[in-house]
Amino acid sequence: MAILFSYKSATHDLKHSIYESCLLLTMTATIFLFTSCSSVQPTQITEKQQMTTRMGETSAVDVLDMRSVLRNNLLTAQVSVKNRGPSPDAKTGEVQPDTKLYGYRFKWLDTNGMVVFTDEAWKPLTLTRDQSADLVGVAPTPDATAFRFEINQYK
Amino acid sequence: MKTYSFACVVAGLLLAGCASAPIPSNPVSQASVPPPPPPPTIVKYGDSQSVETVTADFGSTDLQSVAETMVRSMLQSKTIQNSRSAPLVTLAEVNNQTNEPINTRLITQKVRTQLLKSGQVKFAISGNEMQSQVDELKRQNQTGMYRNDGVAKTAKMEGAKYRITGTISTIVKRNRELKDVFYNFTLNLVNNETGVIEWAEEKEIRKTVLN
Repeated sequence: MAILFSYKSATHDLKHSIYESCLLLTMTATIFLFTSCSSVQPTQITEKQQMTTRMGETSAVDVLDMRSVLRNNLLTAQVSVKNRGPSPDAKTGEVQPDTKLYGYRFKWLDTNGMVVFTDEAWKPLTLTRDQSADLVGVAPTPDATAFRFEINQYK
Repeated sequence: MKTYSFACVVAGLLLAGCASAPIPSNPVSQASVPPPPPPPTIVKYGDSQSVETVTADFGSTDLQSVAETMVRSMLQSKTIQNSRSAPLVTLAEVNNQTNEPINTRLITQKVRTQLLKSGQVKFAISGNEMQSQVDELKRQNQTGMYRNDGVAKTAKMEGAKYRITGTISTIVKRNRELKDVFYNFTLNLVNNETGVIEWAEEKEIRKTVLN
């Protein structure tokens, strides 16, 4: 009887240790999986980035804020930008000139994402280092329900 | 007579001799160095909406930005937005108070086109275009060549409730290093019946030229 009890106890211990090992293994694998998932996850594209089209060297200009409101039946958009200054030249290390000439415009879309008006003219914008500007655009027609912001650099 | 003929022959010979006489001063060099070919002409299309900075004079970017600012502002005005139906407007003159020969009709026509495209405003024919309207009505009504049922009748034109007037002016300053041009463009919407200016907007542009 005592032998049978000790056999049962030993079997139980063995099962318990196997169960514990399995649990540990599963947890480790889960942690590894989560870690690997987080490491390969692409950087989040913000809504501001999605709504901004950049052309040419405009990396020094940060889009700080974007908002729109329906004013007198027309969509009015406001984009706040700031020139944080160009970084030094990667190859030579030369400091780039602060003042840059940019052009910007708004693109107006309807509920289906179709452009509702002909392209706007590029409007010149001069920004020195650390200068910010609130750029306001008014939709040309009440059909416009969304907007995109486009910025480029001109010589 | 003989003397006259002889003189003519001699003169002819002399002239002929002169014509054949020129000898290139350096024929070898002329033969070996052909005249340089003219520079190749490069033609390309550009972006009509891009920023144009060829000179400090009033340019396409100024025209486009002025028209855009004016149109968007006018469309947002209470005069336009509170109208039950699209109000009837006409173009008056934009007074050019600059020293530049600016085609101000180009500005007003661009404003008119964009306002019409918005569907918020209707335009009556302007004073400058009235003659063509009169000519067309005369052609249809007085030539006797049109059926009566299809003829555009006279005395049916609609008078505009508002008119658009404006002014463009500049302040130009210069020294040895630079030239600064400051444009100020103002547009007004005047009620034709009451004479009240119901809306006004201005656009300022500064352009600097470094010598």
